[in-house]
Amino acid sequence: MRKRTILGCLLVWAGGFALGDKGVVPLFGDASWAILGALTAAMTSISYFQRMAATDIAELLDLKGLEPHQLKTLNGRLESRRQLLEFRFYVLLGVGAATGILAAILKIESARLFWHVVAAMGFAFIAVQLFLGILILIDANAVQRFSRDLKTKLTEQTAKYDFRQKIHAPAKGHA
Amino acid sequence: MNSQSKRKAIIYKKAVFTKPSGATLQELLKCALDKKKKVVSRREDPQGDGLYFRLINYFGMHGLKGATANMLGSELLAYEPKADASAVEIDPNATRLAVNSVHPPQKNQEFLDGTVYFGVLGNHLVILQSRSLRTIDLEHHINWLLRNVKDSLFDSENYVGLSDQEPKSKKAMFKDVRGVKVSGPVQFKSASPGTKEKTAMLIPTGNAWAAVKAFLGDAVDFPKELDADEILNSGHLMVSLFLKWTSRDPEACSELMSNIGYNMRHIDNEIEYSVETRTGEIKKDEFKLKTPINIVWKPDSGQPSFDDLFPKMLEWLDTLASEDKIDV
Repeated sequence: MRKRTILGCLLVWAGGFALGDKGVVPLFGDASWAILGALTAAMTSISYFQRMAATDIAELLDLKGLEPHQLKTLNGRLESRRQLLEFRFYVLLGVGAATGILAAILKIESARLFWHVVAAMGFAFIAVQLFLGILILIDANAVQRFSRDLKTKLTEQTAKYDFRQKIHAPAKGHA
Repeated sequence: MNSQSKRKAIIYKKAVFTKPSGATLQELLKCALDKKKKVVSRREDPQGDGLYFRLINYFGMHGLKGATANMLGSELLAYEPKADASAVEIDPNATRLAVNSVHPPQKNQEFLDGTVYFGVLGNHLVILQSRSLRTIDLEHHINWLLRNVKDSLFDSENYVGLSDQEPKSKKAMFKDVRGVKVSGPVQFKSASPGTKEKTAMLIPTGNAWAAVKAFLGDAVDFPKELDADEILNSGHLMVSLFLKWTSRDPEACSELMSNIGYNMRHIDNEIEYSVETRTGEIKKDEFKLKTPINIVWKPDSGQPSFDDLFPKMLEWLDTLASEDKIDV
């Protein structure tokens, strides 16, 4: 999956660069180097988030030895991470949109090359923000799914804990 | 007389209600038994002819050593009034052994037809059954008892089945179920005399045939009789049925596994069944949780020591829970 994503991104960049170089869409040519840098950053983000998710999965797979309070802690961590990821997504989306609007206004208002470059950078920024945002949203969904699985596990583990406590509850006078 | 140890197999079942009331089987049973203090009030005549009786003889709370007594331990027994038992005299030199009828030593005594010892914790049961009195008898008796208690939460439309536990260790395979395979030998009995067909006809019967018919219900019009000529030379005729499962919904697959555990709960050796998945096969034995244990036996009464048996049942339940083999 990651290989295909990287290949896809590189193709987009190469296409943009080629179109820009031929003068078909000058804006793409200006922006393509910026896009490439941002894509590299995005890939790093993917790896980072995937590693975080992998840690969670590893923990989920080894829940047998965990007590209910440890599961609650883990669930809390997952929930807060999901909220953080969603927050990042909306911030990125907002910043991207604002930059895009600003770039568009600048491009229309001015014919100077400098503002064209700024506008190109702005559009590139939008693209990158959207791309990163989608990645984060996907990751947030994954975390949400883990969180849901964890809640099921939590219910099961709590029931198991209570059941075993009931069997081993000390008799009066033995406590 | 010294007590002795016997090795017996105990089995696990879970109580599944058709109309769950919120009360566990343990609560319902305890309530029913407390209301029916006298043995005669809880004596069931399943055939209605006074020739065979079943009753819960003993019940009491048991626990692990030093722990609260949380498990309801009980003894179900069955007897035939005024029935004699047969005894055979073992003589190594005889060409034929003598068989004698043995009467109960006292007038108000009866020979036991079978006993089932069972511990109930919530909706979990651990059962030690005998050859003649089985889990199915226990299930019928529990339902009879619960329905015959005044002001019970268990009404006449409710039914409690003692279901097998679907193998939790193979839960990952549940979502890839391809189908259920049921197979077993088919026996035949002659068609009733008086039928005027020229060709000899046989009626298929046996547990496997009944299981297949029960599985399919009215959806398939099964032949009531088969032509003898077609099958008499076939040797061992087996019925084998593969029920293809097409749903990919994980919840539906999981429900299917629970249904198999419930509907096949009284099948021990008569027929084979297995669930085929894309990643492997789940066999009948994996639905049947059982373990051998050593039980202290009291030679004077011919009963197990309850202080030994029921704590061991609890220990096993604890093990099953800790190993995630049962739904708690």
